[in-house]
This record gives sequence, structure tokens and C-alpha cells, in this order.
Amino acid sequence: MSRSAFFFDSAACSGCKACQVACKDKNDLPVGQLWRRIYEVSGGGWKKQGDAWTHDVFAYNLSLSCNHCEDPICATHCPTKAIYKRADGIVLIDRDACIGCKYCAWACPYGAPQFNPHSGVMGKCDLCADYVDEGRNPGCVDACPMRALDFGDYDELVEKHGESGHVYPLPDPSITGPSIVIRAHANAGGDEARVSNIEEVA
Amino acid sequence: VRDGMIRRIETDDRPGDTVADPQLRACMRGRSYRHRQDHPDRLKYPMKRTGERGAGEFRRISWDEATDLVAQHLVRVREQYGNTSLYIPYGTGSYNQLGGKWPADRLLNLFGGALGYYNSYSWACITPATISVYGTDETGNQRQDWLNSKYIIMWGWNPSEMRDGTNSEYFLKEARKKGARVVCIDPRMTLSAVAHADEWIAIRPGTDVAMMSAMAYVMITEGLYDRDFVQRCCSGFDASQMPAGREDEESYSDYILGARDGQPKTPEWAERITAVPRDVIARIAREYAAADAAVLYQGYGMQRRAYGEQVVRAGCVLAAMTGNVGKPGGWASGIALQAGGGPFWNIFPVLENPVKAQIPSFLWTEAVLRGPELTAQQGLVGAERLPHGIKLLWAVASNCIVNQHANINRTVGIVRDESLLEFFIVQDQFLTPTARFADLVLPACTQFETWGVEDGWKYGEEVLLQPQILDPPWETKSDYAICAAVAEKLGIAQEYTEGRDEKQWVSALLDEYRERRFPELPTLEEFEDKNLGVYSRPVEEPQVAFREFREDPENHPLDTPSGKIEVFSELLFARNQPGEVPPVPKYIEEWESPFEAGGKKYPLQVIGPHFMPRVHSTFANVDWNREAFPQRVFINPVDAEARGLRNGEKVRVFNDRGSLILPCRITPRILPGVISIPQGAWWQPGDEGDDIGGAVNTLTSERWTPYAFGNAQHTIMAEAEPAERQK
Amino acid sequence: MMRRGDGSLVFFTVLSQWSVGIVVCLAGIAVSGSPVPNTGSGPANPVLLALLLVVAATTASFLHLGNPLNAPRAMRNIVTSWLSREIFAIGLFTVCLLTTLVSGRMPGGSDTYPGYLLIACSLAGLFLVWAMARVYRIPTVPSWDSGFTLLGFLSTSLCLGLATLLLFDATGVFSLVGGMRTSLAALLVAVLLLETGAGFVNHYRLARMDTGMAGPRFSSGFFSTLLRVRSAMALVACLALLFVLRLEPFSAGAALPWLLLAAALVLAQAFAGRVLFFASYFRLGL
Ligand SMILES: Nc1nc2c(c(=O)[nH]1)N[C@H]1C(S)=C(S)[C@@H](COP(=O)(O)OP(=O)(O)OC[C@H]3O[C@@H](n4cnc5c(=O)[nH]c(N)nc54)[C@H](O)[C@@H]3O)O[C@H]1N2
Ligand SMILES: Nc1nc2c(c(=O)[nH]1)N[C@H]1C(S)=C(S)[C@@H](COP(=O)(O)OP(=O)(O)OC[C@H]3O[C@@H](n4cnc5c(=O)[nH]c(N)nc54)[C@H](O)[C@@H]3O)O[C@H]1N2
Ligand code: SF4
Ligand code: SF4
Ligand code: SF4
Ligand code: SF4
Ligand code: SF4
Ligand SMILES: [Mo]
Repeated sequence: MSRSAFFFDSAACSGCKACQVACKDKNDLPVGQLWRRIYEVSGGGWKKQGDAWTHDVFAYNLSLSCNHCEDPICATHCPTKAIYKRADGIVLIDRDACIGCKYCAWACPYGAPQFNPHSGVMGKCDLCADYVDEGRNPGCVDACPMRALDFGDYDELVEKHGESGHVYPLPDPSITGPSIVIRAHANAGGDEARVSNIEEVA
Repeated sequence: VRDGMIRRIETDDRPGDTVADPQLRACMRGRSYRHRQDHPDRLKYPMKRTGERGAGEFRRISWDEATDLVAQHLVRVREQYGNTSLYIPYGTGSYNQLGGKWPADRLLNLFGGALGYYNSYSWACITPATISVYGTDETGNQRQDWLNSKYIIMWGWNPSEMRDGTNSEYFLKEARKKGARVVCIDPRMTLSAVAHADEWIAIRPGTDVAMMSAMAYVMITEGLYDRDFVQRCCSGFDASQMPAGREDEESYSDYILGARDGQPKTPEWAERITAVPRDVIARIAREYAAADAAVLYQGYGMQRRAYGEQVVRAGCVLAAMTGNVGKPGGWASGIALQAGGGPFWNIFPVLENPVKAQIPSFLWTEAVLRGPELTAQQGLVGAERLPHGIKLLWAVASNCIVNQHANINRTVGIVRDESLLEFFIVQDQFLTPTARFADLVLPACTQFETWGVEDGWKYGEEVLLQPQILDPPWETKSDYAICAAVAEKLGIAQEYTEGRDEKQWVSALLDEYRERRFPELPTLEEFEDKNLGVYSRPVEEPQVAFREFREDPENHPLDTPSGKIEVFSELLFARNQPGEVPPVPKYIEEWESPFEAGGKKYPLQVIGPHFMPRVHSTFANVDWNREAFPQRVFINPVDAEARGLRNGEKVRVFNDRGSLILPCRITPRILPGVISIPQGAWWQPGDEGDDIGGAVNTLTSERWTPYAFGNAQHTIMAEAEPAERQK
Repeated sequence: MMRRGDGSLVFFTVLSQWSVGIVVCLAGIAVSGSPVPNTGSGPANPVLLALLLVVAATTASFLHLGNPLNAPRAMRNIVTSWLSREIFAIGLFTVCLLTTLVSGRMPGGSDTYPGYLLIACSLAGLFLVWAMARVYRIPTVPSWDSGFTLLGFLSTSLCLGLATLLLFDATGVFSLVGGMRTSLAALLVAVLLLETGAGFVNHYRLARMDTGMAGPRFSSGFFSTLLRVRSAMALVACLALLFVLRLEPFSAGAALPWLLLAAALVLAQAFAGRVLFFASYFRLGL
């Protein structure tokens, strides 16, 4: 496989966080480490019209881990080459080489690399490379009750699920070439969208 | 599993994941179970109270002493007050036929019985209300049938969060893929509204019947309802079909058109009550009536309210009016247990209770406080009166004594009184707010540490084997083993165990399931040989409830007094309480509401929905879950601004019954005037009398619903203020 | 507000830039013909002071690392990572300083530092400041990714270097000829004013940015307050320097308290500026 990638169906995601916790369970992550995390985006407001309340409220979720980018800015900046890309596109961190300088975390526009104060080094989603090598799906993908996550080759995923929708608050995909195909929620693009669960993701 | 610890949870990974036989994928709570399992606070030894009740001071004792104590007090209370003073309360902590309260029920039934209860905290109103309409609680098609539906109303139903049977949300997604339009009617823009709904309609809590009535008004006045179906299959819809002897009573159409009360139930009328714009109400009525086949699915939150019976009945009537009963893609509403028989609640032989007296599950506080005063008026059945109140309470897998029951401050007052409640046993895995009040705490092991078996909750065609994969740690024991040890002390060990251990019971129960539900079910040996965890029966051709009735109502009558769908209910009529228990479904203003005078003092409606990170209070102490979904007061920007609240700030929510303090989350995803405090956080009384754990039951009322004697824990009024300001 | 762990980087950058500033100024006066004595001991020896500062800076930078034991690997990615290059530059600069220092201690050596060594040191130093600025020019971090970063780092170097030199002069470590003293003090005032002005311009730039999910708010609170405090410190330092410039005739004794005040304020405003810099971090996306 040339470019390992995720598919994420924002239209179907409820924000239930089964994927987040499955990832924590698999990787034994302490509180504060969210290799996969769910951003709740909401916006819109309320108007009183006579006795009725009308609204244009909207909300959608984004479940994100590391996107194993084509052009991983994290690796470009890493001084130790601890971050490297495998032939199948998986971007990994060599924990033994990492000095914990946090440079990758500054640079990654997806908040993927997370410094682990217990181990002193960076951690991030490894796409469950061990499972992938066994021919299995990543843990989070198979955990999703809504079947909103998928894993595969980028081009095949685009073909299977359609084009990506890098909606707010995702950065311009041209920066890093993220290997994630996203189906946007019908609500995406509303006015005054903001991440409303910051304390749960940062 | 490694080194006596579970390393990783993997759930159903059977190959193939189809609509007929989907994988059973765990929610985030199932995913985090390891951190519950390995929690440092697990109960490890039997403990006896040393301080005041509720102080949480205990001394470790041996199992021998503990089982002695249980046996002694059982015998003493039986002698002094009789078996009706023993009580095992409602408790849902264990979904295992060999766990939770079933083994204790069996024990007490062998010991001469105990005061029983009927109904539940979950479905107190919806079950009898459904039966009052349809004569049965099996009103649901199998869920795969949703794929035949063109229009689905999730009315106060939030399957993404409360699941309602594994895969409900998956079937919904598939239905939507096939073109169903989905509407969510809920005061909150729930996780389900985001994942499933094309439209979210925010409704003022407790006013759904007003909207339903206005929908009926539109359907009647615009001639949209299924006249043929109503004529053939219903009773009491209009004056033409009132049951014999009830011709002078108010029919449903009379009520809707305002023939007697002078108030037609128009969308304008409903708008004032529900806060839903009139044109939206009318449009939903038209869409629902016009859809070929439509589902009006009722969640249970809105029946855990003041007149919870009415909302269930009104929804069922709409389903009947639109002719969605008995047809593929349709839905009869109500409790909607699976047609053709769903999971059994209980298959482990608890034996017959020699004591016939039963109270409604929610009224145990009254039975402790004033047992001999209870009569049929308070829902007592099986006896005219109770000789004494409850004197010995044995709570197994239940946090319903303190945390999950209403009005915690009142409840703990009752439970503290040793002259009322003489002995209190709690059997759990953690020192819950309930367990802190116990005289004796018995440490139960978890489902991974004993054998178990279960066949799903409400829906599903599967049997789940729960093999023992770890030894019970410390001195914990399985619920069954605990009861067996007490049986030994009582000298009824042989009758109790029939010589079986847990695994042998599981094997026997599998045989029972095979006989009664799944002829193909493998034996325990086959399960083990093939390393199976789940047996499931694919659903190719989903069952549709009331199919035969719809085709030929005369020859397949319902089990109601009229044999028809009772829009006018004889059962409710017989109550002779037309104000609170009207025979046709009516909107009744709740006893605490934003409309009444008291609403001025406490202007905010509070709802306590079931929260993703917990099952009630279970998992409340698990770090991963608290991280993912911290306990909050969810409040609309309009209300927050009026109170000068900043996002994340601590807010104090209070009414006459109590107060709690929690950080707030300001979110537009809730109707103005309503705040949400997810139920199940652990009650934690602070120094100033506020609950700093954030248990919504600090605010709820013990008042029960008029017909079902059910809990109305979602009906709360309160006020909120910045916590710092008032101190 | 600053994230935890960035404090060490404040010290690392300010101290190392101070060090560079000293050497650059020394090279400047050496080129202009004034001798730079190498006889002083401890902080009275300007090159030794520079070395001590860079060692302290490097030590502080270690506190930032989660796993300092691996630090030797940090130059492995010199091909794409400016952090690798920065570390290389630190090494180079330190070696230059050491060489310069040792040159003065050779038996039979002169009692002044040779100009060419000081020039080599300052070239290495300027490369370090440049590399350091490049480290923060991360395309996904708009608050850092601008010319203001290099400008700020350079002006910090220069201000601190100049202030140190003026103090050396007033304390008699070496003495600047009258014209030189006046030009250096005037230069310091000019740089301080430039830096302060740039601070406001940059703040204006930041305040108009969408700082994303949890980004800082520049227009009020912590940021604008600290910015004002910092600017006030710079302006008071300027006033003190102007007072010294107007001393007629110049007397080291009378100038010293004012120079000490100015130097302390220059240092304090440099730290404040750096705290603002790190606290301004936010990135595109999430
Ligand atoms: N995650 C999770 N899942 C659970 C449980 C849990 O604790 N946690 N508990 C399980 C159990 S035992 C049960 S009984 C079920 C309970 O399931 P439910 O009783 O259906 O759950 P609730 O959250 O109480 O209510 C459902 C929805 O009703 C809304 N609601 C409240 N009042 C009103 C109203 O007046 N009108 C309308 N239209 N909507 C209203 C709430 O906002 C909520 O979204 O869930 C089961 N599943
Ligand atoms: N305000 C408000 N209150 C509510 C509701 C609401 O909607 N609003 N919902 C109500 C509903 S629907 C329900 S069902 C009740 C639920 O209330 P409860 O039935 O009390 O459920 P839990 O709070 O989960 O408590 C279950 C306990 O069982 C323990 N446990 C788990 N497994 C085992 C086991 O194998 N053995 C033993 N011995 N113990 C075990 C857990 O540690 C936990 O303490 O809450 C009700 N309370
Ligand atoms: S998402 Fe971030 S960490 Fe992952 S490869 Fe892309 S840039 Fe690197
Ligand atoms: S923290 Fe580790 S992985 Fe990240 S840039 Fe530094 S050395 Fe590389
Ligand atoms: S692929 Fe694996 S490591 Fe990455 S988010 Fe999913 S579960 Fe976590
Ligand atoms: S498990 Fe699926 S539905 Fe739940 S948050 Fe993750 S992606 Fe969304
Ligand atoms: S908590 Fe309920 S929904 Fe979640 S995994 Fe367990 S049984 Fe399934
Ligand atoms: Mo329940």
C-alpha cells in the first residue's frame, strides 16, 4: 500500500468517543494523552419570536488522530529524525531517539503529537502499525459504533467514500497533505462555528 | 490478559458486519472498562460500619463474620416483623443472569420471601401506558425494519448516547442511507441529533403532549389521518366509536377540537406551551402523516416526568392515526419491546416469592418511612396493608438508595434513621454514595471475575457468554457466591445452589435459552471449544408488530378491554381521576413548570439525561470517562448571559430541595430556559451543604406519577447563579 | 499565557542573545580601534562573561527537553531542521568563544583580544541568532512566522550587548573614548525605540489574527498589559540614557547609577518581550 490513510465520516459521527477510548485502551494512555480526540464544533444562536424560540444552531464533530501526512511538517522540524515515514506512509515516532523538544507539537497543525510528561518523549497515533502489519484495521476504526471511520489506501478511500471536506477548524490541507479523507457534515460551514469542547481536547 | 491484569479490551470482532447480523460494538464505557476493573478504589474486603451512617467509616471484617451478620439480621427481622419487612431494592448494576440482585432474590424467596416491587425506574410510565393502548408491551418491530421507513421522528430519543440496544444507531444510519428523513424533537441538540437528524426541533420539556395534540389537530382538520385504519382498529377516537356505556365521555377528537373545554388544540395554542413555532408543528404533522411508512420513536426521558403516562399514550395515538401500526417501516410507538419476543429479563430461577405484597419500585422510601400507611392509593398491590415498614434493606448492584433516587437530601434523612431502617446491607464493587450509608458492605467481583450469561437489553437476537477470565481479586466474591455463603449460614445451601457453581449454572441457563428462545444455541462446551463470546441469530426478515391485527382486527383482537387500540382507555377511566389520569391523552401542566407561579422563583427547567461516560452512576469514578465527558451544567448563552455566567465558571444550581455546584458549559445546543445536568454523578456533600459532586438528584422530587406510580425525575425547576457570587 | 516549559526557552534565548550581543559589540569597538583587554577575571572579563551566559543559556535549554539524555542526537537532522542547525550554531559559537578566551591566556600573548577572533565570534553569534529565529519561523505558527522574530532577537542582542558595554565602561573594565561612548548610548536609545515601535506594530498585526481554537487573545488582558509595561520600561531606560548623555563633563561615578538602572530595565524589558513572544504562540488548525 502506498499511502495509508483514514476515512472519517463527519456526517455520521455522534461524538461518542468510543474511538478515543479504544485508542487509550490499546495504547495505555494516561489522562491528558489523546492520540485520537473528538472536536465538537458548534455555532448559531437563538431568537425569540412571539412565544416560540427559533434557532439556527448547528453542530458537528471531528474525530482526529495523526493524519500521516504526505508532507509531515512534524518530521521536517524534528531535530533528531525521531519522526520518520514508513514506506506505506505511516508516520512514526522512534521513542528512543526523541529528546522531547516538543518542536513537532508546535508545528503540527492537527495537534497530533503530544508530549507525555511521564515518559519525557512525544507520543502520537501510530496508525496501529502492529495491527496493520497483521492485516487488521486500526483499533479506533473497528471501535466506531457508527462505522464512521475507515482505513485504507488514500486513493481507494477517495474512490469509495468521495472527496474530502477539510472544514472548519481544519487547516488548509495543502500545508501537510494529510492522509485523511473526510466527508463533511451537512452542518459544516455555518456562521460563527467554534470548537466548543476545548477543555476536552487540549 | 497478562499477569492477572487485563491488558486490552477487544469487543465483538466477528468477521462480517451486516445489517442482519452486525457486530456488537461497545460504547466508550465498555471500552474503558479496564480502568474500572483496575480501579484503586475497588472494594476489597467485607466491611462493617464504625461511624454514623453516611460518614463512610468502616472496619474490615472476615467473610465469616459478614455472612453471620447477614443471616442473623435476616432471621431477627423476619421474626420481629415478618418477611414483608425485608427488601431488595431496584438496582441495575449487573447485566448478568447470575449477578446483581437475582441471586439475592432467589435466596430470600427460599427464606420465605420479601416485599416485592413492580415497575422500574426506567420505564415506570411507558410500560403500563403502552399496555393501556395496545394491551401488550411488544409493540416494536425488529429494528432492521427501520430500513423500510421513510420518516423517523426521534422524539426525546437519543440512541447515540443511551444506545437502547447495541446497534440502534447503526440501523438508523442505514435507514437514513436508504432515504429516510430523520427529525429529532428534544430540548437538547443531542449526540443523536447531530449524527442522525436532518432537523432538530427544540421543545420545552414536559410539553410534548401539547405538540402531539396540535399535530393531531392538524391531521384532523386537514383530513390527513388514516381514516380507514382508525375506524377499523381504534376505540374512542371520536364520538362514533366510544365504547359501550361511555358514549357521554369526551372522545379524543372532542378534546383535540376543544368541543368540551372550548380550547381547540391548535398549533398556535401549542406554540405558547412548547416554544416550537406553530408552522413547524403543522409541518411535522403533515410530513408524518404523508410519509408512506414512518416511525415515531419515543425515548424514555419524557415519561420519567410528572404526567409521563400521557406522553406515551399521545404518541401511540399519533402512530395509530397515521396508520403506522402493523406495517413494515411503520412503528406503533410506546415501549416497543420486540415483536415475537425479545430478550428475557430474567431466566435464572429466582423462584416464586411467597410474599405477594408489592410496592412500586420508586416508593421504597415511603415503605421505610410509613410502610403501614401505604394502600392501593400509593400503588401497593398484593396486600391491603403492610404490617410494618421495611426494616432490612439489601441493595445489590444498586446505587438507587442515595444517588439514583430522587431528592437525595430527603432520602438520606430517611436512611439515616436507625429506628426506621434497622439494617442496611450494600453489595457493590465501590464505596458508592449508597454504600457509604451501609451498616455492612459486601465486596462483589466484576463480570470478568466470574461466569455469566445474558441475552441483550430490550432488543437483539443474541446470547452473550461472560466467561470468567480472572480470579476474584482480594476477598471479593461473585454475587452468587456471596448469596450461597449466606444460604449456608441459613442452612439452606443445598436448596440454594442445587449443587452448582457459577459455571454450571451458566451451562444450565444456556440449555434454558436453547429451549425457550434459540433452538440453535451452542452448549457451553461448544462455546468454549470454538472460543465464542456471542451467539447471534441473523435477522433477515424483521418481525412487524400487530401485522395480523392490522389485517383483521376482528379475528386478532388486542388484549385490551375493547380488543382495539384504546385511544380512550378503559383502564385509565377506571381510575376515576379524570384530572390527572384522563382516559384520552391530554396535555396536563406539570406540577413544577415554567408556567406556574412557583416558576418565578425557580425559572429554569432542569433535565438530567443519561450521560455518555456513565451508566447512571457506574463509571462515574473512571478517569478516562471523566476526561472524555466532564460533568457539567449545560446552559444556553441566553440564560448564561442573564446570570452573568462565563463559560467554564462554577455555577450553583438550587431549589428548595437542595443545591449543587459544578462548572458550566455554555452551549447553544439546549433550549433557552432549560439546563441539563446529566444524571449519575456521585453525590458529594460539601461543607456548605451544596453537593459538589453534581448529582442532579439533589434537586429532584420524590413525587410520583399519578397512574403508574413512577419516578418523575426529569421534572425539576431550579435557579442558577455564579457559585462565587453567592458565597 | 505561556505554556508550561516555555520559561526555560525564555532564559535560553535571552541569555544566549545577550552573549552574542556582547561579542558583537566587542568586535565593533575592536574594529573601530579601541583595544579590548583580556585581563579581567570573572564577569569583568567580557568574553568570559559571554561564555558564562551561553553556558547558562544552554543549561536552561536542557530544562526544556523531556529526555535530555538523548540530546546528542539533536544535530541529526541538520538537513531539514532549523533546530538541529541552531544546536550546531550554539556549539560553533561556544567553541569560538573558548578559542578567543584561551588565546588571551597563552603565555606571551598580548593583553588584548585579537580583533579577528572577536569578529569570528560575532559571525558565529550572528549565525546563531539567525538560526534561532529560523527555528520559530514555522509556517503553521503565524504569530512567530514573520520578520519580527529575527528583528526582536537581533535587537535583544544589541540592546543587551550595548548596555553591558556601557557598564564595563562606567566601571572601568575598559574605557571608551568620549565619542564612542556617546554613539553607543545613542545607538542603544535608537534600538530601544525601534524595538518598542516594532513591538506595537507586531501587536497590531497579531491582534487582527484569527487565533483559532484556543489561541491567545491579544487585544486585552495579559498581552496588552505586559506590552505596555515592557514599553514603559524601555522608555524609562531611554530617559536614563539621555540623562547620562547630557552629563557634562562625563563622570563615571555620576553615570553609574543611571546606567545600572538603564541596564536593569533593558534586561527586564528583554525578558518581558520574550515572555510575550512565547505567549503569542498559536498555530493554524487545531
Ligand atoms: N450512556 C448511557 N446510556 C444508557 C444509560 C446511561 O446511564 N448512560 N442508562 C440506560 C438505562 S437504564 C435507561 S432506562 C435508558 C434511558 O434512556 P432515556 O430515558 O431515553 O434517556 P434520557 O437521557 O433520560 O432521556 C432521553 C432524552 O429525552 C430528553 N428529554 C428529557 N425531557 C424531555 C421532554 O420532556 N421532552 C422531550 N421531547 N425530550 C425530553 C433528554 O434531553 C434526552 O435527550 O438509557 C440506557 N442507556
Ligand atoms: N435524576 C434521574 N435519576 C435517575 C434517572 C434519571 O433519568 N434521572 N434514571 C433512573 C434509571 S432509568 C435507572 S435504571 C436508575 C439506575 O440506578 P442504579 O440501578 O442504581 O444504577 P447505577 O447507578 O449504575 O448503580 C449500579 C451499581 O451496581 C454496581 N455494580 C456493577 N456491577 C455489579 C455487579 O456485578 N455486582 C454488584 N453487586 N454490583 C455491581 C455498580 O458499582 C453501581 O454502584 O437510575 C434512575 N435515576
Ligand atoms: S498530522 Fe501532524 S504529526 Fe501527523 S504526520 Fe501530519 S504533521 Fe505529522
Ligand atoms: S519532541 Fe521528539 S519527535 Fe518531536 S521534534 Fe522533538 S525530538 Fe522530534
Ligand atoms: S490508529 Fe491506533 S493509535 Fe491511531 S488513533 Fe486509532 S487506535 Fe489510536
Ligand atoms: S467512535 Fe465513531 S461516532 Fe464515536 S466519536 Fe469516534 S468516530 Fe465519532
Ligand atoms: S455500557 Fe452498555 S452500550 Fe456500552 S459496552 Fe456496555 S453494554 Fe454496551
Ligand atoms: Mo433505566
